[in-house]
Amino acid sequence: MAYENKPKVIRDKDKERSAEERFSLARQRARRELNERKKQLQREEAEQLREFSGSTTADARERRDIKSKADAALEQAEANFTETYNPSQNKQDYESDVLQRGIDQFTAPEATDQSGSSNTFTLDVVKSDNTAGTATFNGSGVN
Amino acid sequence: MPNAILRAGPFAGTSGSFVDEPGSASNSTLPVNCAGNAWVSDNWKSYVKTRNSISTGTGTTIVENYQNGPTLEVEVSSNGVVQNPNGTEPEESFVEFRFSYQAAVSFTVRFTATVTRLSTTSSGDQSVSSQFIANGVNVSIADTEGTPTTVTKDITLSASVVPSTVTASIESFSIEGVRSKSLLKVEPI
Repeated sequence: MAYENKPKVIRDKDKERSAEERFSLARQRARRELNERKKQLQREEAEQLREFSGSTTADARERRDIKSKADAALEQAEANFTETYNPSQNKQDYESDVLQRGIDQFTAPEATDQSGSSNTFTLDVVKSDNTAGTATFNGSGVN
Repeated sequence: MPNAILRAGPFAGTSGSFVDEPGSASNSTLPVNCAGNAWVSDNWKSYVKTRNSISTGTGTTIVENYQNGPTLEVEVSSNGVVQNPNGTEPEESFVEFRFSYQAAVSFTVRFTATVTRLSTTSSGDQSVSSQFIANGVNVSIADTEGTPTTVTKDITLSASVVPSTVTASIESFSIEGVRSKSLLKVEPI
């Protein structure tokens, strides 16, 4: 019959393999696909960089941008595709937790913008000794 | 170690704790101080009211404003009875401080009231009677008959996250012809 489901064909070799072997083969296939993907990204990077070779300062910026994007794409390819994992964006200061994944935010005082940008705001406070002081916050401000 | 407290003010009153300085001084809108200290780029401030009888039969003069401290000394003198016609009304000199504060820990301010008799009359009671009230506490002050009388009261103010109000006043009365001068001083210690 035209619409009858066909029985799944399992090759004899696969029948003989254990579950562990089949899992190992699957991992090898995934690794080959991943390597192919990385090579493809490197080819794309090289191709785009060639287009800007021997150019001006502005082009140098674009080259850096292309390289940065390529590095990020390679990094992403190395990770599990279903998770956001960007080690290059992890904090590098003494408060860093290398087990943290995802995008970290800098909160160390030396990393806080003191220039009064839109992400930094300062409020007056009574300090613990009753003298006047200020507290600087980094965020979207007071809503 | 107590936590820091976000600043309220610069003034506070019945309309809230984050009020700008009003166009004219009022005892319902008070400056909010950083305990006994000034805020960054600001001054310690107090609402100040004085009232004194002026020439006999012309009533009293009332002055209200905000003054900078925290060591603040204000005095006013009487000069005639409050009301005519029979001379039974007293002469009056009055000074009042009102301010608010926030504090992470308790602190102490010292109020000093000084009453001086400026003149005498040929007959009648020559004394000046005064009432000194420091943050709700009625501080005893003897009738002033000769040399100036000074009374000091230290008030410990508790820590407060929200603006807390402090008041102090000295009010002196005397018969017509016995002029008085009332002085009130506040200072952190």
